[in-house]
Amino acid sequence: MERYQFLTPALKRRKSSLILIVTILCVLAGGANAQEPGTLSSPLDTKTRERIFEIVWSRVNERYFDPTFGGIDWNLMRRRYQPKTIEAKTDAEFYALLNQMLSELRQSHFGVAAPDAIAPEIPTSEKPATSRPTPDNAPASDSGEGDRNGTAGITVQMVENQPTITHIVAGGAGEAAQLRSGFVITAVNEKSVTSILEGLKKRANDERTLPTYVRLIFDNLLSGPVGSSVTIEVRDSADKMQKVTLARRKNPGVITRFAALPPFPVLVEKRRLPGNIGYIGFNIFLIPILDPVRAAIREMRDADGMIIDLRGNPGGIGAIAPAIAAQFLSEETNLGVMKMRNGEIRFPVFPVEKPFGRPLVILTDEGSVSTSEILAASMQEMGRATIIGSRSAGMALPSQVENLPGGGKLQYAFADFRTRKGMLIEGQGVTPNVPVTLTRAALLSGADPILQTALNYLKTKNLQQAKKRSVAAPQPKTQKVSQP
Amino acid sequence: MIYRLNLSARLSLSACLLSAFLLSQQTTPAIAQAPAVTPPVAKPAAPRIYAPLPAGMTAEKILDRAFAASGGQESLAKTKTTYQKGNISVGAQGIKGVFEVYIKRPNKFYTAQTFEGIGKTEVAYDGKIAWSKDPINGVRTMKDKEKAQLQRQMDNDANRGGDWRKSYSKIEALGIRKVEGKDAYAIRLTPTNGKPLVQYFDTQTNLMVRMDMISESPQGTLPIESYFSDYRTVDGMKIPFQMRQKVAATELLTTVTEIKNNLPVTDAKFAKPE
Repeated sequence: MERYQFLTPALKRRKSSLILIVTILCVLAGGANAQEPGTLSSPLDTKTRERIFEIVWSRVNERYFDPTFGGIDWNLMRRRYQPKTIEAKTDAEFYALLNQMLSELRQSHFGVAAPDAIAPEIPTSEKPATSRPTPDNAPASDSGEGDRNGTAGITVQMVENQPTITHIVAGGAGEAAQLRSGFVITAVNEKSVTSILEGLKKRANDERTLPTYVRLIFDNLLSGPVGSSVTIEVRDSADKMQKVTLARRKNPGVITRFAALPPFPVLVEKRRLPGNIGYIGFNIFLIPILDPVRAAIREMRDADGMIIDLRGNPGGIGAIAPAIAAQFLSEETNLGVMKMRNGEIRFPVFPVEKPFGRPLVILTDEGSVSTSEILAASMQEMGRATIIGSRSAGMALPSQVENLPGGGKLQYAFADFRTRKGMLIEGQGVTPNVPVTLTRAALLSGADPILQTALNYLKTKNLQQAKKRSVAAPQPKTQKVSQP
Repeated sequence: MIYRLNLSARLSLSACLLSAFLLSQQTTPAIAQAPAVTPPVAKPAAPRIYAPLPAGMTAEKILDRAFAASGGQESLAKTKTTYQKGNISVGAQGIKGVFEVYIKRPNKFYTAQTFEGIGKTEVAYDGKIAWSKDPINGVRTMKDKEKAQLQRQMDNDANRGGDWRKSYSKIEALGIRKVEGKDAYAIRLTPTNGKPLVQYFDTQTNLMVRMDMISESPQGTLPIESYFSDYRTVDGMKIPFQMRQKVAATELLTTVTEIKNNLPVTDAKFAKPE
């Protein structure tokens, strides 16, 4: 296996928390949080609060793609929330009220992140790593004190209605503590999972998106400064309780900064799987992934099938979806259109000279968000890719993130997105062609059921195609052989 | 016409800025609770109310005055090449970058912007081929309306002086409208191939202060409002050193830091890369 950088699916997924700043804030504001209200670093004065409120309200008022605001009286929202936000007793309450106002729109991609919910500045680099660092041998933290780039080295997802470890990072803190996939988390830092989930349910307000938020909140709870620790309680394979303290290790990857988003490590993985199947995974849609992904596709052009792993991928720059699609399509097309209040933008695909023509599988789960969903839905709709895994998040509104006075950030959707045939992803997600439900038993056995299903699917598909080819191929002429 | 000459760099920059804008749109979720409401299809801007023009004032006169105010034919004829560079920032998103523009008259231009986190986006026209190169789509030949728009921008350059008929089948004065608090003449120009644009000229200085256009590209059509300010005289020509553009939900600010005319520029600068 060759990697541009060290990456495992677990790590890919975990880092989503760094970009989903607003989501995390919303969730944290719901009470499932290690950050207590009132601990924000610099209190906001009344004028700053007024300015922030004005920006937040006005951006939605002027730029929200739906001029009817989905039936919400946005002017009424101003009258209702403006006095409350100014009178809020703490800044935490102030930000929570802003998020409450935005949640009235009942759409994804709206939120305000308080300054203390945002990762600190980390020096950036756009050059992809050429070596293969591991959590242990990765370059020393380049962010210094306050680094939130530490990872516990585990991924947690809802499995059989329980927060369950679904992946252990090789060389990570979880592996060192002998944790295994299939272990059920029962508490984090003495806080019971039951109370965490209760807070989350109130906030998520939608059963369908709950798994996405569970994943995000655990990502966040398990992240922190490199060297800091987090204590978790787990139910192991024998259903015995264990209490484990994990010292967070550096999350590898090239730290990249884009616009007003927090810095985060960009990771790309490629490998050739059994059956001559190419596998490419990347943790976000940002410019630095493009060249490694293109190179990986070129390099594995002779593969009998390709798997693009978008599990846990939170999206990024929307225009990268067509660029990836271009590697697999032979004709100019577009993935869909985002409509704004005063115009629309298509996602045109300009095919590369020699696109990959063999079967393509895209893996999704509840952590596949936004641009991931745009790519998966469009390729599925065109019949070019088979989606395997679980339903994606259904959060696919093109948005912008702006810096706010006081150090916070505002995210707002300025467009909606529909596929070429008009499918709306927002609130619905991408339904896999081949759904795979994770089970604790399968995880305890060490399997990656989704990846395994994809491999089996491609194997069957290739066999079917080979059979078709052999049937369609002209039979060789029978040579007459003279009888002796 | 010289008002176009002065703006040609900005116009070509618009195409590049549009690419940058498209590249900068990010999708990161906050909270999803309900399906989105289908927005209405974008409609043309609502009719605006214009004050009437002074008696005897025509679109042709306004354009002639703008041409003269910007430096006139004499200054234009002396300018064979133009190089500009400066800074760009994208709204409150924190995206910052730099740009450079090369123009070689009569019909070549090259524009490049480099943004942190995005990389370099180039748009150029060598007199025959219009092309772009960006980190996402690589090298691409621009065709049809997209190409026509770029050609028009260059053709509108002062090579043609006041001969607007080369590119526009119709011009009409719409009246007077406030732009940034000042009265401006509004002129609608309808291209022979493309969507109309509206230019606004300060009634006192006769310099262009605003332009509304519809950008046409494979991404679709997108309205762009551009505001020009901080005019300075360079080699006898009035050049706006600042341009603010509203593109969809984004505002871009372009500031010129350097202009040099008549530098030697080879044709290779404008040629489409292999």
